[in-house]
Formats: sequence, structure tokens, C-alpha cells
Amino acid sequence: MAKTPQSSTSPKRVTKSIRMTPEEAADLAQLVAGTAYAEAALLRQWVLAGMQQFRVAEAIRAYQDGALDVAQAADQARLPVAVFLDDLAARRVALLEQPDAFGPGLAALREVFGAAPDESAPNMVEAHQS
Amino acid sequence: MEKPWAVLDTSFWVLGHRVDVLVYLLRFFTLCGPDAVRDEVLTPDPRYPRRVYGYQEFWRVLEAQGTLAVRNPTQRVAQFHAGEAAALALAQEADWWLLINEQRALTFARQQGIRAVTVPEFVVYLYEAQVLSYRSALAKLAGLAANTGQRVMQPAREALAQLAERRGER
Repeated sequence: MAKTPQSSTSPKRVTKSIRMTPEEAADLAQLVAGTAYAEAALLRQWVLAGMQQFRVAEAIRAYQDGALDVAQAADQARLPVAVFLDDLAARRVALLEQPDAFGPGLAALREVFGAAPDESAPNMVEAHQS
Repeated sequence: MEKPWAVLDTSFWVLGHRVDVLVYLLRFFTLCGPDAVRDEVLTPDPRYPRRVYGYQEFWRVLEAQGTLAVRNPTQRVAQFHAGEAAALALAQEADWWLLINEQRALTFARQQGIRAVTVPEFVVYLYEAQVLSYRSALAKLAGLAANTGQRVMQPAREALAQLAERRGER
């Protein structure tokens, strides 16, 4: 079977270079030595993973600052909305912050489904809000 | 009583799953979600394309059982993203409950007179309805604390504590 030319299957790549201290370079060499990977391949993988982490971190910061809503931030993070929400939750970012987030829904649930038999005492949620 | 319909938003589904209260929704509501919410929930994580999160699997299980329906609004609420916009519009059009846990859309929903319920409210109601124990409700609120501002958590904890005191469970 004829080999497909490399240029038709791989996207064009550009070279980016970084400068490291001798200690950092030695550390890198030691990390790579025990693996089956080429140093360049590992560096590329780490850069891509780091870029994605940075993208998510920046999107979360923008969401927390109010610059982006959930969907815009998820888009910036290149994540689906639910995955981004789960990431927000895992990173302890508040999704509800205003006092109106607790009370009206509980009152509506009580009104429609009823309170437990011992709930004849004053409504504590309304008392708290007033 | 016939169970009222409730529209799910992605935020309630994800956060509700984290504190394990989604299954209790079925005691009270007939659940539905718009296609846009379904897509938001089920889209795989591009970082780990083979991974299936629990909230995704649970959605599929309920859908397969026929206990979670897809319903779509005729219009969208313009200023929100696809899932929220569809959930808000459907709840408004059909006069159904909205299950939501994201501040901006929640505030809008309440301004529009939509009956919206957040995860902390649902947790406290589950204790009030004696579905959850005090210890369990307290643990679930603690699980929400990292994602819920102090101005929301404080009244939630107080409501729970006052109920528990009246019941002699605290």
C-alpha cells in the first residue's frame, strides 16, 4: 500500500522555542528519560494541557467578575455549559449570591405541596426576609 | 393530586446532582427539559471524550424510563444563553415551575413571576416535608456552601435550624 505523504495528513506546525535554566533543562531531561515519549512531544502535550487550564481559569475569573455569563464563560473555556458549571462547583465558585435566591421557592413549595404537620409556627423564611 | 410540571435548567441539574437531591424531584414534579438544556447536559467533556459524568448518566436513565420528557418553548428569552433561554421561556409560556440554580436567570425568572426553585430551597423543603433527616439536609447544605453565597446560605441554615429545633431534632 502506498504511503500517504506526511504533508497531506498532518496540519502544518510552527516552532515555538523557550529558554530554560540549566537546572530546569536537567529536570526536564530526567522527567523524560524514564518515559517512552520524545521530549518535544511531551513538551507539546504539557503546553496544550496548560493552555486549556489557563483558558478555564481565565473564563472562571471573567464569570466571577461578572464580565461573562455562564454560557459565554463556558464558550471561552471551550467547555459545554454543564461541564463548566461542574468545574465552577468543583472550584468553589458561587452560583447563587443574592438574598432572593432563598425564600420564594420554599414558600411556593409549601403553598402547593404543604408543610409538614408541625409547621404551624410562623414562617421563618418570610420572617427572615422581612 | 396530579404532579405539576417543572422545567429543568442545566444549573439545577448539575448542582442538584452534586448533593444528590435530583431523585426526590420525581416525588413532586413531572419533569421536563428543553432540547437546549438536554444538549448542555449531555455534551461530552472535550478534555475527556469517553468520560460520562453522573449527571449525564442520570439524565439518560430518566429519559429512557420516560420520567424526563423533552418539551420546547415556542420562543426564547433573548438575553440568556440557549439552555436558560429555553427553560425560562417554557416555564413562562406553560406556567410551569422552573428548577434553576444560577443567579442571573433566577432573578429574571422571579421578576417575571415564574415559580422558581433553587437547590438550597429544595433541600430545606425536603427536610420540612420529612423526606430528609436533619443530618442529611445539613450535609447537603454543607455540600452547597462552596457554590452558594453567604447571603443565601445563612437564611437556608437558619430555616433548617429553626425547623429542627421545633421538632426537637437539634
